[in-house]
Amino acid sequence: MYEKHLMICGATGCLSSNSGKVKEALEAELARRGIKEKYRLVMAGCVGFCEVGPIIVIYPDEVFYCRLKPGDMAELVEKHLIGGEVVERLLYTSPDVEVPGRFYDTIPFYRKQVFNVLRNSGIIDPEIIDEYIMRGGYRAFSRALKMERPQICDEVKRAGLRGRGGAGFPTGMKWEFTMIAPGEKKYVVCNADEGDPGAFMDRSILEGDPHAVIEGMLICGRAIGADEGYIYCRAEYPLAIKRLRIAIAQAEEYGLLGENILASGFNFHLNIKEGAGAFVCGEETALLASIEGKRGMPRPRPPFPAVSGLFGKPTCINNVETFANIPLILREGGVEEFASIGTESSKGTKVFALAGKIRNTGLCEVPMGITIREVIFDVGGGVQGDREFKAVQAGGPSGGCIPAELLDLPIDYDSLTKAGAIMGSGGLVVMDDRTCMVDLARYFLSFTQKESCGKCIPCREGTKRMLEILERICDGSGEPADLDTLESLAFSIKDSALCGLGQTCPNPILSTIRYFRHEYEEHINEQFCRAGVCKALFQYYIDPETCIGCTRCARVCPVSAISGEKKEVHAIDQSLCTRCGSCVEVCPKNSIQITRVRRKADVSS
Amino acid sequence: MKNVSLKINGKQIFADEGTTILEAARQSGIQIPTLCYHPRLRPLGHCRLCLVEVEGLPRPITACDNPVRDGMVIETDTPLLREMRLEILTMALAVHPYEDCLTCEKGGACELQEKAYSLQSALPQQLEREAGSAAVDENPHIERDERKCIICGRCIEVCRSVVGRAVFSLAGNGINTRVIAARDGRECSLEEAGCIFCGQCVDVCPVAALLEKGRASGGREWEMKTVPGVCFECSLGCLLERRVVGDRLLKITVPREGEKAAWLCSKGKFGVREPEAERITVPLARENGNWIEIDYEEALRRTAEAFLRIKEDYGAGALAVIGDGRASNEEAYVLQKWARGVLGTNNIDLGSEPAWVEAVLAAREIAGPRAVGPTMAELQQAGAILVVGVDLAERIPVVQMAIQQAARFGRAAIVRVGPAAEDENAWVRVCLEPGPAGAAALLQAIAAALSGASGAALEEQAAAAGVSAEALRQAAELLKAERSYTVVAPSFWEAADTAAVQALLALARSAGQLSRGVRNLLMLSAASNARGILESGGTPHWLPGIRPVADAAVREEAAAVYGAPLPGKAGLERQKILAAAASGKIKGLFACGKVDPGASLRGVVFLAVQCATFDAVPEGADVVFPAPLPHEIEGAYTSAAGRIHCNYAAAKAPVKAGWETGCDLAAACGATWRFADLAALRQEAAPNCDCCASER
Ligand SMILES: Cc1cc2nc3c(=O)[nH]c(=O)nc-3n(C[C@H](O)[C@H](O)[C@H](O)COP(=O)(O)O)c2cc1C
Ligand code: SF4
Ligand code: SF4
Ligand code: SF4
Ligand code: FES
Repeated sequence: MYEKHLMICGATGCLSSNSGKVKEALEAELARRGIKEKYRLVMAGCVGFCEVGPIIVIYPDEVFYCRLKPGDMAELVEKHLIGGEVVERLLYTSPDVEVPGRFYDTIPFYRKQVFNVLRNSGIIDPEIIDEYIMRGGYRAFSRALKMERPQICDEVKRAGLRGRGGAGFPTGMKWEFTMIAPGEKKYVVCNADEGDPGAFMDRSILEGDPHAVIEGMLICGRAIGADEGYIYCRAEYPLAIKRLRIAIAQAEEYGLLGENILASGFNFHLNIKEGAGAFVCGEETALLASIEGKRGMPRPRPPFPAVSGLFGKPTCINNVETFANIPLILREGGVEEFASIGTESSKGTKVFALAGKIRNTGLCEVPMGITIREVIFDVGGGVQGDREFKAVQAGGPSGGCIPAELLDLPIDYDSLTKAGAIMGSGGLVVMDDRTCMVDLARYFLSFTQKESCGKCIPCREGTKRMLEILERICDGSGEPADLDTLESLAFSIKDSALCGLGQTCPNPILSTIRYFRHEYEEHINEQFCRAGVCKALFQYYIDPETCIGCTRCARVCPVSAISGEKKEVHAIDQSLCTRCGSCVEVCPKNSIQITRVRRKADVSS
Repeated sequence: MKNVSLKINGKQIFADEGTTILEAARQSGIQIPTLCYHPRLRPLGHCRLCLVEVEGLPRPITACDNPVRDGMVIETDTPLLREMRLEILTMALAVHPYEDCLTCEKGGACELQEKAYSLQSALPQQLEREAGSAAVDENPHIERDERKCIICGRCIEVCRSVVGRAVFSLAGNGINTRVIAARDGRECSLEEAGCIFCGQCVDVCPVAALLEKGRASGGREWEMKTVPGVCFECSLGCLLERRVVGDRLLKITVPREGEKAAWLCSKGKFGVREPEAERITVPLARENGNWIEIDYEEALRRTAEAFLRIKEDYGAGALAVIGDGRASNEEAYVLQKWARGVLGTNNIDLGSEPAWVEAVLAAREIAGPRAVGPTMAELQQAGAILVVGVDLAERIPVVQMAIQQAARFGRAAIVRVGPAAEDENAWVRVCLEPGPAGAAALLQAIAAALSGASGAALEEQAAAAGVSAEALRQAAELLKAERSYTVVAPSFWEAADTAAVQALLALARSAGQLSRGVRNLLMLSAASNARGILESGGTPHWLPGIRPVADAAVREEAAAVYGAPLPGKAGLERQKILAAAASGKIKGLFACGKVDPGASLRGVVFLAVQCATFDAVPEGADVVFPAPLPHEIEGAYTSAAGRIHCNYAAAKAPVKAGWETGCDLAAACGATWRFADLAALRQEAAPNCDCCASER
């Protein structure tokens, strides 16, 4: 019997902040003391708070240690495991908490979260099927085996689950369409392509609780009458793929996958297909083409995959998170429980990846209907360095920005769409006053232009034209007519492109114009980028009032544009400055400020 | 069966279920602009020009790939749509080198130019992109100019779905997307990518990104005259159109209208456009080992003199007329009239296999003279197709394309007799290889399985044929499908004996492919106009109208028309004539077209030939008559399925027509008849065979 369970976060985020080394050090320390057998060490799934990783949670004491280093392990073992006393030094601290948080409910990051999809992540060993089963796993599936097919679809419909892959299509309806589509052979496909830059919700689910997704797919297979499934996972997720393979092998061993599952006569086989990682391969028809071995390119719909999908057979394709929700819904009483969370039109929870200029970067799961303010300020801890919040980009390159005045918008499919953004797969990128909104639009457009499959004219050529205009504006050669042209192009492309990529790629432009038109106008009419991003459209100057003459700026400047004696006010030679921004980073007094470009004529007059 | 009712631009319209909005609109005369749509291809959805507004939908949808639904209310020409179309078109023009339009070969026939004109697009600034440079392909047929490609996707689709080759694919992303020829994802030449130069992609390309080679500055599209014709490079007899300016043939295309499944192969599209070998335009004679040019009259005189002397010395049986299967129906009629009525011999065979003749006659007996074989469109709708023989892909590629399409995109189950080629494996359902007992035993066994043989009886058949009973059962099961067809490739006839022919017909009958009025049997001869030649009297035993020479009453009847008695002695078939020519029994020979390269004509005293190019002239020829090229010929040809099509002269021939030479030879040999023109010839032939009459 183990005395304590030590759950080390082994997800990609914490691994990159060295949780592997932490585990080695811990193991070595336990071995040195000869008490290895008393403790169970698990490389568990993501607990979300990547900002403060590596993280270890010790059960049954429920103590949350963070920002760990290999060197901390001796103390942790000595004090906590042997001495039975909490190591205060390694607990979570933050300016906004008075007492160091010992566990989830005392840490603000976790307080407003609801763990549905992430129910097992960080708590079980994802490589051991029994742990999933012990927490009620595969019970919903065995219940579904005894149900009639329409009944299963009906429960999913009644729960009000909508697709978590982006568009929010009602999942129960999709299952029903595929169920009634004529055909002997049908497929279930799980979309784990997760191409949004910065998003990692699906990866975390697969790494932390792969069986939840497999169970969801099994239930879907049973509902629609499919006997084969594919998980399309990007090859850049080796850990997710490894854990999936282990999970599939174990499920097969337990008779939960394969022929005549649980003696019910139901057969289901699951394959993994590694995707090459093109953004457009996340689009469902492109994804199916890619599984078929063709170039990952969208095709016109109809026919929809539900009628003619993989290899021309009826196919139900859902997102990872969508499938992970299914076992919750299909368990006894699950429908009501699921639907009790959320809003009228958006039920359940949503997992978000918090990124950008937010204090608590990481993964969170919140109930639908929560406001953006709550997510960013309560869960996310607000803007880094307490700078001014400018906007948040929801939905990545297909989404839009939401400005400060809409912070109290509830998060649900329809409100977000109305605001010009989309739920998307759940990426939230926070921007502060140092983000240029024109540059943001340009960045996303250059992304979509590079990712466009090139099949249809509006997306292939139209995005390039919009990108050219944006580049011009950022260079300072924008013209007043550009805004109208941009908007007109954006609307045409939105309504004419073949697939979702082209149809949504104007969103970043349209929403930034909608909420930050003045920034565009400043760029065009006044040649000024207030965020200090578009290099041709601002200058740095050193505020003589606050400069203390510490010389740090002069020392970092790569082109020696800054001069000044020690303890005296420094100045920047504009003819040399490349606006790299190195000085801004090092100035202890925030004295390096942004100003309009002064023309020679202005100076002399 | 118009079961869907909808409104387009306020007009009530009825359409079949499954029809696309675009088709429904066009059927009722409403035009929607398109750029990537092609009536012969499935909708591609690349260009987005065909947007329409549908009441109740939040945004416009494409008309080319969305089916009509009952009660739809559609607008095709609103200000919003016009603006969006113009915007999309402008985008397309922004990567198209429109400054080339002044000199572009496609000018006037370019679909992009036409859209720019009809939508009155402004000329946008060019966007920069990485595109391949102008034509790099070293091939004799197709010129590619990638800069002009508008990425409509038609070439990719036609090559994949119709030709089954997949030479082209999209590569790159965004503005740098390109259509490239590739093999295993690596860019390469067309040839390396598996191109068979069928030219289908050239025919569907809306711009000048793919063009026929060698037409540069030959003439503008609108100057071109379109002359309908028929391809007689193989016995399928595809319809085509020749485009000429003056007497210069610039390109050959599939007919604009007509069957959806009308395609051409490399031989039809490019093969006869320009003769590679040197052309013969004046009669030649061999003297002291050298060719000398002689008068036409002189050539006639020498030939007639020699033939008449041989007849006098050795009898008419020492004379013969052969052909390479490409004679038109009219030419065949004249040559046989000359041979039988003037030279006095039935030794005439303008090309066809005896086994093929036997099979065609037997099928005709069963189905009746009016029943015709399947069109390519019908084959594509097939439920099952039995393919017999091995050389379809190489000899009759268009049939191979149709079969493959039927299998891959239709519902046809393909049963193969003979080894399946490697690239067929994906779509051939059952493949039966004949055992040592040959094709006859195998066909017999399938026929037996089809007529319900089972148990020991079937095992016995299977053992005899060298295949498993299970495979036979499977094949039979598939062939029982509705719309079941058999296609026989030329190679079959080479080795087929009467037993094989009987087995083939028995099989077709038990599969329901052959009965009174039904002839779902396509028998392809190696001779292009085999069917027309047979029906026009160009084979030894059959007079025009497929009347037996052996029948004295028939000969009597013909003698009245020919103005001379007809020989009763049975004539020799082509292979026997060649054997007799080698052994010296045949001493005077007239060969129309190419003679088999392997044939020895050692025994022949006087050899006269009619050839268009030098490379076709056999060794030992004494006199050579020139012949017209295919696009210079007016004449009728009968396809293997039994359809008669007229080929019209697209250019004036610098030489006499084949039938004229035939008449002149007959006259030189003493005939009192001669046809003033084709009309007169056709009129005489018509009562017995409608082969030369109007198109059937
Ligand atoms: C350009 C593009 C990229 C997409 N990428 C993803 C993705 O990475 N993951 C995903 O689940 N859905 C993605 N989608 C949405 C899918 O097409 C599809 O709607 C989804 O997988 C359906 O699952 P759901 O109903 O469970 O949301 C993408 C769509 C588009 C247009
Ligand atoms: S919208 Fe873009 S990605 Fe989608 S089909 Fe068109 S070109 Fe391809
Ligand atoms: S010529 Fe025929 S085979 Fe070659 S690329 Fe064109 S369509 Fe394909
Ligand atoms: S080469 Fe011609 S047919 Fe092929 S994609 Fe380009 S424009 Fe279309
Ligand atoms: S014609 Fe419909 S998309 Fe091109």
